[in-house]
Amino acid sequence: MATGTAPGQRRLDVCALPSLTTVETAMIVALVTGALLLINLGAPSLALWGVLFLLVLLTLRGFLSWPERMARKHRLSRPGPELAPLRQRIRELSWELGLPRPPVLAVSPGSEGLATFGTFRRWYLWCGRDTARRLAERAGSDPALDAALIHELCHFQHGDHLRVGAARAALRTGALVMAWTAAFHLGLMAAAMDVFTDPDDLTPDEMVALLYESSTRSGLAVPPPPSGLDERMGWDDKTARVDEVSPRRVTLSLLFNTLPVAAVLGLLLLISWRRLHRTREHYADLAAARHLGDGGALIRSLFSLAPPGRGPGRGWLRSLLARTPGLALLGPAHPSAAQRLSALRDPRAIVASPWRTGLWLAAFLLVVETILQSTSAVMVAGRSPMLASVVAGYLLISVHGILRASGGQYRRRDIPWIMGIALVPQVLLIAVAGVYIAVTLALAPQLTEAALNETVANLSGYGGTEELDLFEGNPTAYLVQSLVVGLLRLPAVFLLVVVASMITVGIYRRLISRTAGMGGGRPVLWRVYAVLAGVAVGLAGGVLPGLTAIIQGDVDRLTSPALWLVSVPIALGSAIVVLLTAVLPPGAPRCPACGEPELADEGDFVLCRACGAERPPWPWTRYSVEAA
Amino acid sequence: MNVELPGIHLVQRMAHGASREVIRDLGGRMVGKVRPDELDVSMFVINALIDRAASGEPASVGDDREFGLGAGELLAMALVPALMELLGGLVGRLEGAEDPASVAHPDPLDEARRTLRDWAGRTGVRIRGRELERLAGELAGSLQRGAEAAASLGPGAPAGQVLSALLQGVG
Repeated sequence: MATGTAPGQRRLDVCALPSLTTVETAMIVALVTGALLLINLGAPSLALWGVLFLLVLLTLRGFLSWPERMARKHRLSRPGPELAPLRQRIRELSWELGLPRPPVLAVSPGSEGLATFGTFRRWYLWCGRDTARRLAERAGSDPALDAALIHELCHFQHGDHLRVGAARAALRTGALVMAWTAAFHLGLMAAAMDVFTDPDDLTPDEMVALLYESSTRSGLAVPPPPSGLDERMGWDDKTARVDEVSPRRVTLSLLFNTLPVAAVLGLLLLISWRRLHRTREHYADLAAARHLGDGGALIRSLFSLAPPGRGPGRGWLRSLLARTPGLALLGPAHPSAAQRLSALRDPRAIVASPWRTGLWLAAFLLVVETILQSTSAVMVAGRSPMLASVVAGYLLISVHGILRASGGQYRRRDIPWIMGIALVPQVLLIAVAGVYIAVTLALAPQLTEAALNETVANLSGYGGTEELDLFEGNPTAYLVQSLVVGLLRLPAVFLLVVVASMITVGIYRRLISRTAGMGGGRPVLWRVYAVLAGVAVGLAGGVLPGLTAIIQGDVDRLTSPALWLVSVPIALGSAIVVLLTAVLPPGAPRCPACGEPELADEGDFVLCRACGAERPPWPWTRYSVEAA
Repeated sequence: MNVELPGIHLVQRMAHGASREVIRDLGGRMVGKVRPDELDVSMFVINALIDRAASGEPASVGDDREFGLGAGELLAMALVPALMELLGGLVGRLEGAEDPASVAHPDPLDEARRTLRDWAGRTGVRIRGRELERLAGELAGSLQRGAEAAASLGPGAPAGQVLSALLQGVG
């Protein structure tokens, strides 16, 4: 069957625009990697840096060995000669799509549907033997089956196997390392605490070393310095130093540093990982429909290829998730057939509404803030507490605005609306915490002060036995000050993100208004990425350091030469890059068919004067979505 | 894995000509009543579902596996083969009967309920209790009307006319 562009309705070509999958994958990977780095950065121990090295190594290994694991898990084998027509069709379609190589076909014993996986150069397309036979029988003659194959090949075209595969490997390794680190610390603590009750089990040297190692590896400020472990030190000195360590505080600090981070990261990943999969499926659907000129074939392929008879059993957890409305968002890795049809008819549906984008960003920022509360993160990120929120918020909202602007749905008020929604949970948290502490202070001032002292000790990583009196009998003044700073940070984040996103979307709209029709394509896409990167770097390195110093009232930092030598050039450099990108005219667009720069904008379509090829103007495409 | 439909030759006949139109219209109407949000997408795939049921390979809900094409889950996946089986059963009874008036099932509602439940299990489609009752009621009512239309022709009517009356009654 010949594939090609059939006449159909004009629709937004989201594949020609900045990819939501890329932005969201980058955000998730940056979050997980950043969390692990921040938690471990405070540790001076070589062993923990070794863990980080291991993390990178395991991630790489996990990614590269993905094909082998899939082959083992699904008992994949090479196809027999009866599947030659299918392999031939895969080669033909790969060539049509302009892929550098066709994926290798692998079959499993069951009746599974089509799926893809791979690494840099090893691409695999696999399915159950029954499905493969059906595909082989109708290869090239059934548009629905071609649509399914093209959908899978488009995953390779978009690089999903690299982006999502690498992210998957990073998440799996990150979770393992996080669990290992927590278990390692807690195990050491348990061993050390056992020594307190039974000193015969370990020598004093081992006991002190264990406790010291355990506490310092989480960035805890334990009183004994490393020199305290000198072999020449007597037993009394050693036990005295051990007495200076509070096992309870060290344990609580360890828990504060690991458990909340692990819990909220896990929850976010559950939600966002599935969301990411659904988004990339929509992109592959649209690319396939664009290539075929028929979106209906793709919907039909979902059912033409569905396994016959009783489908694979559902696990009880998946079944529970699917049946519980509130948990359904954690469940499916694929959009429903109705959602796919809806997105095919109007690809603008892929871009979530401002309301839903705001909710997703709110969840993301809450996770970021929780991670930033861990001891080492405070030590590292204390000077730029707004960095993660501003950069993440800016990227997501700008791409959202760009996609909506491309589809003619952009409203300027969406940007403050999304950021407002994203910050509501943080405002509420600060307000609830403030009210709660104020009430408990009024009812039981001494008890509340003691609890606050302990909380600060746990959060700051203080592991000594000394009684703390951080508030000197007047915790109210401290609380008011911290609440005010906390609340002041939010409007600053809001304003920075909103202004930067509005500037970016404004530049993008200017770009597409100047290049509408014949312009566009890769040159405009690269300009958009350049503007996004320029503004993000300018915010992170140029604007935020100065603004943070102002909010924190740190006059010394504001006048320091380092700030002026680094931040000002970065801010100026970024502004120049962004302005030049917006002002310079784009290069002449070339015909995708013959490569000649002879395109003429004819309003509803673009015509090449050299070869006569016709195409819809960027970023639009044409295909039909009709029921057969 | 093929799933044997009872009276497969009858079901295969159902997948052609006027029967296909009846199944398509009736199935669409029922989906529209029970799950209106699935009506649009069901009309895209109903022909494929009829063909698969007729070939003895009705589609079932696939695994929602990451990195896969993904499977659909529509009410029509269970409803279409159930409708074809019930209609096929009725036609089968008509073909062997002396008097069309004697072919009606003694408890059409129970028959429809059992068939639907069976197909929900085979295809993996989740049908809630209230949906099942409503669908069973609609199905039983349609089949009853078909049987009555066929019976109204009286004994000795030509088979083609009986079938045509039945389909008209059902549709």
